[in-house]
Amino acid sequence: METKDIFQTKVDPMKGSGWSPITVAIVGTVVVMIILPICLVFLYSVSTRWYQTSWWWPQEVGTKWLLSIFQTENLRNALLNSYSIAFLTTLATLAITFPASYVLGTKERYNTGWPATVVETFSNFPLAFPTITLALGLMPLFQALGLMSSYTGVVLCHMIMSIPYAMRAMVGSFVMIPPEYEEAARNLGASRLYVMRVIYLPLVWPGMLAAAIFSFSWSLNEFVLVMLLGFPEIETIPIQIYQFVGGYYLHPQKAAVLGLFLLIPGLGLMYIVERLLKGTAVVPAGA
Amino acid sequence: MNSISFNNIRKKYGDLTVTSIDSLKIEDGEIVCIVGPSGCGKTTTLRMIAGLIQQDEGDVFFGEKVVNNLLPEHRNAAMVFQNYALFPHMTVFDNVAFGLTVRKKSKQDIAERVRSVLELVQLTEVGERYPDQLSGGQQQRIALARALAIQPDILLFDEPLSNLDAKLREYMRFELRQLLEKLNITTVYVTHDQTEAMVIGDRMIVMNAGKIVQDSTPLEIYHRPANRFVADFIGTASFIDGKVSTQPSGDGLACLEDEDGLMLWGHPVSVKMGGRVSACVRPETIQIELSNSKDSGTRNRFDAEVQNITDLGEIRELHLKVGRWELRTRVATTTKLVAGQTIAIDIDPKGCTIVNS
Repeated sequence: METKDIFQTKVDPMKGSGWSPITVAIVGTVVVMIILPICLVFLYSVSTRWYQTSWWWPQEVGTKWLLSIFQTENLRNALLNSYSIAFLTTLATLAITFPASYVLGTKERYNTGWPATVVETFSNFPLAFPTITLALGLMPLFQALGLMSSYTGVVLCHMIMSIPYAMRAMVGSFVMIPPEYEEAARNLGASRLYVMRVIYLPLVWPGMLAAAIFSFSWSLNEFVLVMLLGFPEIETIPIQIYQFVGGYYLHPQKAAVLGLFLLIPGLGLMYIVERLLKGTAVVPAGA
Repeated sequence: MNSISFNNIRKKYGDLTVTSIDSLKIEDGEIVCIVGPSGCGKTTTLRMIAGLIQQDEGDVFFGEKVVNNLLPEHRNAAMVFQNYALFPHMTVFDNVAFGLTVRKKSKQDIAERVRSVLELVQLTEVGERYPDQLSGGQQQRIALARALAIQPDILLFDEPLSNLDAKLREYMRFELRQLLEKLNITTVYVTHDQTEAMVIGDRMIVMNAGKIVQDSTPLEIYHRPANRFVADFIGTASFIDGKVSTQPSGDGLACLEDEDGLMLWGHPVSVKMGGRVSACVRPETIQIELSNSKDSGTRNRFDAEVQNITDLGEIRELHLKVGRWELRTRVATTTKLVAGQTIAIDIDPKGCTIVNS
């Protein structure tokens, strides 16, 4: 190539090289793999009649299945249980992790010492176990305590898993706040509790929101722990879905409608995370 | 009684003793400046007064009361931080009102007090703004207003001007002095800038390596530094090292003799005959004799070689060589001198302090 060519071809170093066919193929496949199932759930939930002859659109569309869910008592209960358990788990988790994160986040300054480090390490253990192992381990304990097939039991075991995630989301937020704010506040007469409420809370709320969102959506979608420790007294949406697609009685439409009650909040919460927490430093909580 | 006392205070981090003060007394209403290089323990001392750090040994008194176990929120010793530490999520008004809100004062009282304190720092218009919308100097004044709003018994300053540019710093330290004089609150002011300390303090405490090295008025410390470190840290000084060759006689002056036999008379501070000492020569004690008359009868006359002339606009800095020593002095810009020239200089013996090395 002549040197003249090199200097004459204008290449903007900041611009990407565009989308090659391979990139399109990969991204396209991933998008389809995610979008397609979601679309299917929506479709199924409103299809009153769908035979194999038409593969991409149901014959008849209606709200029949949607209404039937509300008319069946045990399905209504499942909806109620799922949401209330998720809500209570989130509330209890936040109540515990807020002060705990304050202690762990400020431990350097206050020389809290080894108990804080020990607690921090232990609080991460549940993350290492798959939920089924946790459930098996909890069964004898719950039997002994009379917590099997109980509402309280389910909330408690959900908290065991959501607390580690919440802590990871929140401790970082506390660590990032300059110690001078707390020092100045205390210097002016504020007690430590006052400082937590008036100084830290307004500044760490993104971390708390992330913790809350994770906690809520995780609890909503959780299957194994509720199945092994709560069933048959406590039924949640995932358990009912399982009964409609995994058991004897196959009913994809009802399953799909129930699935909507998990899908839509999930998408909604994800949207909130994207919108409100963009730019704030939040430890991404992996499910 | 808002005096502060330290009694046998020790503070260690691991094996390192960062502060070791046997005794310190700050009287009610005094403005005391603590100066020293980084790591000398001045900030630690300040924080021990505020209660943000606990001492390992010893007692801290406010008046007659031992405050060792008193929590920071109960000490009423308001602090102005180096980085201002204004709460970013509150307006200026709420920031200044913070101490009052904590004490559950009525809305009226709060509004009244905030208004008067903002007037004091001349920033009455910014109440509804947020701290990040203010300039550095403004933030600093708001931080001061916030500390004053609670009418503290003790006022503490942790290098408050070090984040400001030089011009603003010069202006602010004068303003601060005026304000502090008016307020008559027991004040402890920590800084590494000794000019600032001299402007602001009634009294100055020089610290080094965790210990108090000298505790006196700024001028006393300037003219009669206790040792070489203080002489070097405060003001500009050139040093001539040697041994004491003549005891202080009738006029109180002693003589220092260096290795080459150069003799310098000066005011001795706790020196012994034959001891190794340094003479602290301040620039203003050096007089240039351009007439070159050989002997005028003064004691400290030397021949000096002009090594370097730096014209700073308002004044000229001279680097002179006397014997083996480099001395710094300042002359008017109209003085006719060239580098390499040999001139005669006079060092005022009363202005020259001889300290132990």
